[in-house]
Amino acid sequence: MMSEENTANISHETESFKETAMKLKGKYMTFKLADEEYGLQILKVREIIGMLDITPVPKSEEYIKGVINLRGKVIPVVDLRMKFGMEKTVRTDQTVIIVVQVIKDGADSTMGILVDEVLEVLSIEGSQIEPPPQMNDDANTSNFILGVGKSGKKVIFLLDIDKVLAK
Amino acid sequence: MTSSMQPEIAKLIEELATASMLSEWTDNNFYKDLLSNLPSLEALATSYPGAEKICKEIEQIAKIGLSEPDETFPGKLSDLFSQFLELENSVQKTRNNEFQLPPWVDEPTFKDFLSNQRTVLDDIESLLLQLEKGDLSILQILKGLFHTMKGESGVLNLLDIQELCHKCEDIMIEWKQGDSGIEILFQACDWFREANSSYENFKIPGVSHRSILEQIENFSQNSQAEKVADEPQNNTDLENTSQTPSDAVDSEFTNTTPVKPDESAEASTESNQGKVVLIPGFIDFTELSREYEIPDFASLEPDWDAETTEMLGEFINEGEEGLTRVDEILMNSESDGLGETLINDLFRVFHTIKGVAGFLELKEIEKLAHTTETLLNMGRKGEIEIIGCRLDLIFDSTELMRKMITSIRIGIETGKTISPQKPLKEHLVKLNLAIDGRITDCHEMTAKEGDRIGEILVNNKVVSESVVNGTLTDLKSGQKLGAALVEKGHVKPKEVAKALKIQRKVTGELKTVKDIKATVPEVTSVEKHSSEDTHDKSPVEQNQVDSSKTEEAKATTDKKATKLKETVKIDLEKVDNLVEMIGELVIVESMVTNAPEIIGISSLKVRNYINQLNKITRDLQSVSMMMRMVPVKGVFQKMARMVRDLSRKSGKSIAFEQKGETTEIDRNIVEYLGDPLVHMIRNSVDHGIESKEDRIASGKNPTGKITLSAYHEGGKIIIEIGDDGKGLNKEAILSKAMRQGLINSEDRLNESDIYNLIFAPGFSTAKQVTEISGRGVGMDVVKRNIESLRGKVLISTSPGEGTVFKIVLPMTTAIIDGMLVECGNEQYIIPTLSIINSLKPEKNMLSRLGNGAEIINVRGEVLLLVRLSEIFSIDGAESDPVKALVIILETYGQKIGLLVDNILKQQQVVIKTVGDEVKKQDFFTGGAILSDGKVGLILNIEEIVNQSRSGSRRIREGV
Repeated sequence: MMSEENTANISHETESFKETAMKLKGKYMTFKLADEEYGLQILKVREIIGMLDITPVPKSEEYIKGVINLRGKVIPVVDLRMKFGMEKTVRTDQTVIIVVQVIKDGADSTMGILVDEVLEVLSIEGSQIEPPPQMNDDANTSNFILGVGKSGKKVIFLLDIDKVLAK
Repeated sequence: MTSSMQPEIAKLIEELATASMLSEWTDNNFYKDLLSNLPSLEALATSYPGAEKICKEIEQIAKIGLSEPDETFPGKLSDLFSQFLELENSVQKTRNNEFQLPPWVDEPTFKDFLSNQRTVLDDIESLLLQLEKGDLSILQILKGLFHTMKGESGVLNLLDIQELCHKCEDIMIEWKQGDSGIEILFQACDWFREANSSYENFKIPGVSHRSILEQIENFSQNSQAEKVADEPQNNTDLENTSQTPSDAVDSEFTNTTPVKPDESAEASTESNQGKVVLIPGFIDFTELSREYEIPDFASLEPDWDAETTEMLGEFINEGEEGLTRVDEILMNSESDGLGETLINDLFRVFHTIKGVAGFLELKEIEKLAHTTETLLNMGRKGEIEIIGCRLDLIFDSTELMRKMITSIRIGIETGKTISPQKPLKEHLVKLNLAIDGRITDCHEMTAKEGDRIGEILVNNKVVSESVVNGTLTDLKSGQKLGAALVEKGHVKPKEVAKALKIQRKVTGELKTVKDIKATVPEVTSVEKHSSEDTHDKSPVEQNQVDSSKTEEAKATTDKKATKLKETVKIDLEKVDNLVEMIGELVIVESMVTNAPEIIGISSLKVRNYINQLNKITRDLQSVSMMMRMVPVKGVFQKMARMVRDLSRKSGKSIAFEQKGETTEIDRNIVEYLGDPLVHMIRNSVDHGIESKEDRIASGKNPTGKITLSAYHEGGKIIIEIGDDGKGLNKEAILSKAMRQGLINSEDRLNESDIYNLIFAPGFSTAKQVTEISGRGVGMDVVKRNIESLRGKVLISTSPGEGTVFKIVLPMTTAIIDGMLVECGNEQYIIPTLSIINSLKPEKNMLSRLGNGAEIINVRGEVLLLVRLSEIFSIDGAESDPVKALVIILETYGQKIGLLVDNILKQQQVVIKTVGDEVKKQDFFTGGAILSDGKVGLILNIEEIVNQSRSGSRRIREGV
């Protein structure tokens, strides 16, 4: 009985994910964190800026790298590697800040995320998207992932950036 | 009727409508069905206004349809059904307390009215307070305000507001110094406010105005009864007594305002009967102005006081704006005709002018606006069409009105007597004739077939032949004569348009229209009269003109002359945007001027340019700040009202005094100021001021006094709330704080520490919780609100003499005066407001306690020394205090010394909000862009002081 129900549930889940996948199709900007590739829905991205002077904020969470002056506006910058429980970002020539527009507590909010390298803009079809893997890591990374996009041999984690930056 | 029945009726209508769409128009059964369903529809819609008529029409069509159907029937029926549905919809909306705008009003107009009404209510309230003090001179102004509000709400179909305004006016007509009357008016004000916010959300007010109406009714009846006792011959009927001769003008208005539209309609049709329609050409203006009771208007002496002058200024600005709108409408109407909405727009303009002119006692303007409005009102109700000569009359009214308004402006600015406009009387007669339908043609031009434009104008005596000839010779190639004449100011565009129109019209049939102007030469049209002003005048008058001209010239140096303030309404968002952009400009400017490359430039010329740029940027910044400044008057007035109410509730007699209410303050601050003031004043009334008996016992004036004042001091705004009550009780505060566990007996507190305890959450010394205060939430809110504005509250009190709360606020929330300090490689901003001084410590001033806490002895005062580098774990900071700098900080009487490396400079910075991530911990209140383009964080001194003090306490207690 139980197992039947479970199978039903799972097949139902895959069924419903197909719908989600269809909604997820579209353009993504991909970037690199360590060796992994991640994708951001293109509409969330405001701009990409090179490294600026970041003013550290004492006593704040570790992953808050600090605040920057974005043409007169003060916005916080999050070290995405640290947010995902990885080693903190080491600055290289490729390191950039992606400025994203996220929804926080129902309001629009502009934030910067520090990533190792920006790669490209990809069109991903619904059929190329699979449900997120179940992972049991400390940083709860799987909660932040909308789905896994496959493009050629590459695997791209499609990020739910609203959730990533929610807390 | 229950609500469950509602969907049924809608369903039925829809069914029938569908049937009518689907059925063939020849189908007998369809009409039969329809007829059989009609009774039930009628039964359901009994309470709907107008439903019966629609049902009748449907029935009629259906009946005819049975015998001789017509193919237009289904279309007609579906029209009727959709009307029915709309009706049902609106009934439904009213049932849901939804307010529907009347079709002739658009939403912006409506919202405009509501926002204006709020300001008017503020004015009314402050006037009421004056009235209560016995100042009867303002009754007229108050009445005027209510009257304007009544008229406007009538146009907007806000019938409850209209009715209540009317009753309020009634009360004031019969005004006697009496408490209950003013109480009712205050209540009415409260209701108006509630209604205002309901209507803003398109809801019908939850609380009906009926209860207030009843009170007014009772009140007037009582005073009526008194009156009757005094003068037995007086009629007790309310309506009649309100029409005492002195109020004749006013009651006349009441009749023609939308309150009783039918009456004025009747009146005008009645007057039509028995009067002969005048043949144009035989108008005896003297006779007629007597018949229409048009008074001789006297000259006005512009000796208004400052407040009235200010109101006049506003009136003039608004009036001119309105008239421009009228012009616009009228211009378009020449080609497109006047629709209902447009007539309504016109009506509103004149009505508003009438109301304001009424209470400013500008009789001429009032009369003209009133008469014009009456004519428009007839057009509004469809009794007459506003075309031809009536349209011209409105044109002339506008023209004349503008002249009168301008003459008042000139009068105020030069201080010179304002003489009445000569053509006014004649124009009023014409308007009245038009209202009575006694003239239909007054200003028609004549033309013969083949007349050219110049000939028409000359023949109609608009311009002289010589002028036309002169203009013709000067005519540039391609330029039309009409245009040239207008350009040179010889004729009005309107007249050229009219001449062109008549030129087109006269083809075969030629109408000879005798116009007033042609047959009665001395009665020229308004514009003509004024354009020939100087020619018509007798030598004596000419002299007067000359002398007045010289007077005018003199008047520029005359002390009496006042410059009128002109204002423009701007969307607040635009102002905020501008201020923000200027803020950015300031930052960029300082980034540019501080860039090493620029600093390195030695050219004197460039340095000069940079200095100029700097100056302009600063000026721009201060101007932009000024734009957001508003007087504190509004908030103060609310407090005045509150003290009045509270003193009644508590049974204490309290006089309220306000000073410096014109002091200006950032409107963002004003918004947050209301709450703290409410709490503090409540506290003063309840805890500060003693009861009458106590006051008498201690030899004080039995009437307590609360003073609210605002002033500038050293770039800050100070707001003081003072009372002459018993003062704060140090012992009571201490014992209470100890009982509540806020302090323990070992804490050694100085005086200001003790007083500041009243700001602690939950603290209250009141022996009992009264209705007004005592629950201990108040002062906590005060402190938080004021702090969020980057201000502080200071207390000074002396037992038996009273307490003064001093609120120190920055001029604006957008900018902060800060000290840029350096610690390691980091820079932070410390608000100058919190800094007492800074010093380079010497070795002998420093010592370390057993628990490791560092202290510094500043001229005998022992303070905790806190290293910023330690709190924030900053690397590379100076570790030897003697080589570093100590800044003495204070918040709420608590002082510490903060050790930083260096003070870089003092500067004003534009405060930027930082994300929640940064805000989450309380060490920073915001960020600012520094001159090098980097972000500097603004320290929250209170948090740092509190943290370090509690930290050292924990160490001391061994936790």
